[in-house]
Amino acid sequence: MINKSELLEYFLSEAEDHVNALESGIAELSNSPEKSYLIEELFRVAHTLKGSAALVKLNITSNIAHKMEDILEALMQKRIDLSSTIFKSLTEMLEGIKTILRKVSRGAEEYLESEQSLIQLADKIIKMEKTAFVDQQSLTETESKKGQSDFKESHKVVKPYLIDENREKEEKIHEETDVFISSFIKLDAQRIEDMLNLIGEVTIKKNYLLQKAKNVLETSDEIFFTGRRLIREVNEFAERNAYALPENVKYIDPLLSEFGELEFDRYDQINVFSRKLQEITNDMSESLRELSTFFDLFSDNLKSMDSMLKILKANLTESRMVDIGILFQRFTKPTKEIAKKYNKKVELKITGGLTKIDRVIFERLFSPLMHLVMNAITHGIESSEERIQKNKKPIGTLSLSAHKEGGIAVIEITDDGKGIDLELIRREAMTQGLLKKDDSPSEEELIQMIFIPGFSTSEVTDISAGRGMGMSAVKRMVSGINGILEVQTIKDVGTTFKIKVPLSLAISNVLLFRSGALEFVIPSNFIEEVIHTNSIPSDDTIVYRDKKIILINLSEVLGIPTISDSQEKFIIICSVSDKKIGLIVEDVIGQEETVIKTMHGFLEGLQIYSGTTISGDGTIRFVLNPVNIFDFRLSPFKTIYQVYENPAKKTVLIVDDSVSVRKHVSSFLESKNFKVYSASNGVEGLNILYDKPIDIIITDLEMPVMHGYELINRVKSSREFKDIPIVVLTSRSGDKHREKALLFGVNDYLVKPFDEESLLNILRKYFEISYA
Amino acid sequence: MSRDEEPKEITYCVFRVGEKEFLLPTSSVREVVDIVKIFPVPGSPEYVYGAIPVRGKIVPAIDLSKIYPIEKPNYNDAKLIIVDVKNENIGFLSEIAPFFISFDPDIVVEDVIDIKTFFETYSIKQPK
Repeated sequence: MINKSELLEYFLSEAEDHVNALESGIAELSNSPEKSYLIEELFRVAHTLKGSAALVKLNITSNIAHKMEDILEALMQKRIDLSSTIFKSLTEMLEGIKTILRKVSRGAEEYLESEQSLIQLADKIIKMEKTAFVDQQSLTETESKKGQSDFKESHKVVKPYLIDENREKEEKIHEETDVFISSFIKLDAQRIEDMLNLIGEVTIKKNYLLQKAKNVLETSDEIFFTGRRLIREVNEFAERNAYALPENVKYIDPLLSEFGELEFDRYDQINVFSRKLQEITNDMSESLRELSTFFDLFSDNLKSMDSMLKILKANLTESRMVDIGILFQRFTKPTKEIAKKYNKKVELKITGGLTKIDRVIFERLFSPLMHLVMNAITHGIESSEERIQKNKKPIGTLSLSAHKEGGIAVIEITDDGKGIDLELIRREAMTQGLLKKDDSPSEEELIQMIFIPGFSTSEVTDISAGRGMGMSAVKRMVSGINGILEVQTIKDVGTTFKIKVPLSLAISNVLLFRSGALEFVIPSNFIEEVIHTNSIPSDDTIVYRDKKIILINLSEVLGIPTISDSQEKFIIICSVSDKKIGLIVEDVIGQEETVIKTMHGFLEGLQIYSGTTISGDGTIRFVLNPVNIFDFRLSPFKTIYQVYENPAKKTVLIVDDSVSVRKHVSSFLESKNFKVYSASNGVEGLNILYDKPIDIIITDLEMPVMHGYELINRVKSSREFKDIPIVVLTSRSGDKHREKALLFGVNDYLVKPFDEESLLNILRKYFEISYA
Repeated sequence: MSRDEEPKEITYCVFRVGEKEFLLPTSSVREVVDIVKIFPVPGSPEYVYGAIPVRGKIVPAIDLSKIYPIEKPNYNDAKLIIVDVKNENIGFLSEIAPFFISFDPDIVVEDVIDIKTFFETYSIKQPK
């Protein structure tokens, strides 16, 4: 449980944000009064400030914020117009709040001398109905302009002391600017994000170094052994030569002439050379030994750096985490207000508030939660009378709860109201043409209809007339933070909305898998299960938890060549809000924590990906978006390849047992805009012929399994293929081979090595090659 | 016209694909890198040859031979010329290490790639 002083700390740091937002918002509004959306923003901030202040029992602050909120609401509803009085009042109230916060942060009591006058002024403003201004329209306008300059002046007063040299005043400034110093420091979440990205990059570098160090170590080992061999050779050589010296040779050096042979080592050139070699090699192996010790140490250090990096990463991620309870608390006041407004009795229950989530997610959860809370009170929970009739407790319960499931936070908004009216949805769906008369959708399918954009029951319309938005918008916001929205409802028992979001956006847990030779990832929270199988059902569906779900073969959809013939496959069951799909992939590598980066601007349109990650060794992995891969399958490359696919492409079949010839011919012809199929022998060639529309055949003569003559014979004697021109491409230049081929009906004969131009000339006989 | 006002020459970075040379304004060229490994981008148009990681970011590598009529480029020893455009980096594959050349601004220089227009034309659009 959070104690009171801790709560106050939280509040103060939060309040500073709000105060800053209000200050800059008011300033901007005074400069450009036409930006009416600013009023809404200010309203929201004042509202939050009011709620949070009340939570820590700072009632004066809460009251003032409340008055600000009232004025802003009146502005929003156009009951009053912007005027200098209003700016003055808002600014003064804000200054009042700042004064209070300064006092409170120093441990003083909450007190403000001008409280009463501020509130009175605010009340006066709110009571001024618009009608009172109608006949003074022009006056209001001039006033508003005057108000701006007034405001600017009063705004300036806030920080005039920067240039003041008076020491006493300086101290005062110090006191005043030091306001919110506490054991907490505030940091832009973006900076943490930047730091996390940097850590990601440092990790990549570190892994690279580690790999390189290993290589160097191997090389140095090799050099070391080579050095040893060299020393051995040199030693043997030296010994041999030492003994081979003629014994009767006397020293020529007069200084040494008195020494006999065994009395002083003699040095002839070979001897000297071999000794030198010995010394050098010894030095070298000594250095090498040092070097390898160094590299051992180096990789050890890198490894410990790695573990420190991991801790650093975890800490930074953690520092961006916030208790979700703080978010839940913000709903206490609105709940009361809404309940009061709609004449309902509601009790708010909060559980699991200590679950920590990423600040970014925290902020982006507020609006969807707000909508769901409002929805639950206005449409879920019945009036007391109705509840008593239904034998329910007269006071309805709305509970907000959160818990962790692996790397996911599950947030539940449950009411014990009447549940979603499925009958109403059915009727609406019929009138809106979403259902036909004889359709019999399941309950679940009916519930899912509330998420269709533009779908509205009277309930939904009612809400949007208020402050809410459609359920489809809620779903969109949730999926914006990689979250999933689920709903369960039982008539007269209640409705539960479940929001499943990853705990952190900066570092995501992903499933890493392979399709062909390429690696991809999917955020783990989208994944229900991974099934290992040896047989893929032929109809591309699978029954999973009593439901038929569609399978998508990733390699096929993306056109990735498979690298193994193994029947062994993995099916990744992905669940994305209301849809489940199974992705067939070749190999599942495992889970890992990674930094997901947004998609590159040039590739943004590839909606099958939601971002990229780069692994430690610099491998690029795209983050697949399971929802869009489903749609992509239905219309692959719709806009993309259109421009490049030439429908009138001519097709060539090249049959040759030499890979290099096949490759050479096909890459050449492909560059000439032909579509090329290749086969390594006659049988394969025939198979392709039966399978694909072929415009011309280029074949070798000598091949295994089925040689060229037989292929030519079969083609020319078959009814369907006899008109396809055949070009023989062979190394046999003799007349015998040529004549036999021509006898068989071959149209052209080309001898290897051929030049590309002559092949092209032959093809020109049959096709127009405008682009060649 | 005094000497000071004489227009300065404009420098271009010249690179080659197949037999064709292309020019880029030197000011927009960020760096030239060797291609160690290039990763395919499944689902992208042919002219996206792949993507390479450069200092923790991915850079799409563009094969101009799929946009202009160029025969069999040889990318065996290709370089990637990385340019700054719209707060992103994209790269053009070149068969050679690029060189630089200056022209008088009066001369009409052909085959200069207008990177911004290129980006707008060829960046992958969301299907409607």
